[in-house]
Amino acid sequence: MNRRNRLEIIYDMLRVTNNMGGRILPTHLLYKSNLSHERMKGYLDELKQKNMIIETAEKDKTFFAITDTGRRFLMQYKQLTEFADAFGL
Amino acid sequence: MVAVVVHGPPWFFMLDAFLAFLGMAAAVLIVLLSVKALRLTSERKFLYFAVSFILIGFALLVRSITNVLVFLVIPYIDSIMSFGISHYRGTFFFVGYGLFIVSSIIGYVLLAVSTMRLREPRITILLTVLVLLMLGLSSSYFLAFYLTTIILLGFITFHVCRNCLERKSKGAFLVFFSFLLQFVAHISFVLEMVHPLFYYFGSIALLGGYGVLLVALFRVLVVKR
Repeated sequence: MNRRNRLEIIYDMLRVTNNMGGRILPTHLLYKSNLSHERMKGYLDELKQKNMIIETAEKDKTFFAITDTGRRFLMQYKQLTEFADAFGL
Repeated sequence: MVAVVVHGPPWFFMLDAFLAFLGMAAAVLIVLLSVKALRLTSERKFLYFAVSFILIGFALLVRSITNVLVFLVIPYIDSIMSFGISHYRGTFFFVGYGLFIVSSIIGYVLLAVSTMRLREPRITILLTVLVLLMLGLSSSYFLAFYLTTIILLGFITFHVCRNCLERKSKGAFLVFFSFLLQFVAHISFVLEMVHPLFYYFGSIALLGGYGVLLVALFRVLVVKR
């Protein structure tokens, strides 16, 4: 099985969040993105810093919501993989 | 004075200019997508890819400008004002096509290097120097150029064919078909020595090649959200 690189992990985290209607509980994100707690925390910090994801609170629960920047990244990543696959890069 | 040897009627050189513009449009799109990918991933392969298509695009631009200048603008200026610049048509042609050949060759070498995933920059430099040396020493620039591009395009086509068989996607097939057409076109340009009809056939194949490449790129650009 191939190890995912940094970009693939970020893409997976954002895709999962987007597929859940744009926001996700931290526990769901943890098992759906298949990462350890420590690694997920690191990636979440990076995503928050790049404004791809924001933390929101609702009824005493914390959610992570994808931003427009995050959605733009998803689109660009899809384009990139389509392009690289077409040319075999 | 350098003589211009015209293969085919002048109107066909205008079609040739259009063809070069089409190829340039494909090259520009590839450069844009490569730069986008480079910014996202910082992977060197996209840098090689972008630079190779910048050179190929530049070569096609120079070629189409040269064709328009030599076969349309200069004869027109000379027909209305007797400047006698037609004497320099050969020089324009030589400089324009010289730039086209050098820029294309380096572009194709870089393209072959990036598709074959050769990561060592020294191999790229060695290949480029050898190819340019061979071209410089050749007594027939055009023949040497087309033979070299046939070899390079052969390697690239083989790579995209393997990729197409592995991925089995429409995008990979379109890219493979495009390079196959370009490969056939360059073989036809060499066979032009046997019969002039091959030049027209090659130009049509090249037109198809660039067209298919543009379709493949538009599919990437309109990827579903």
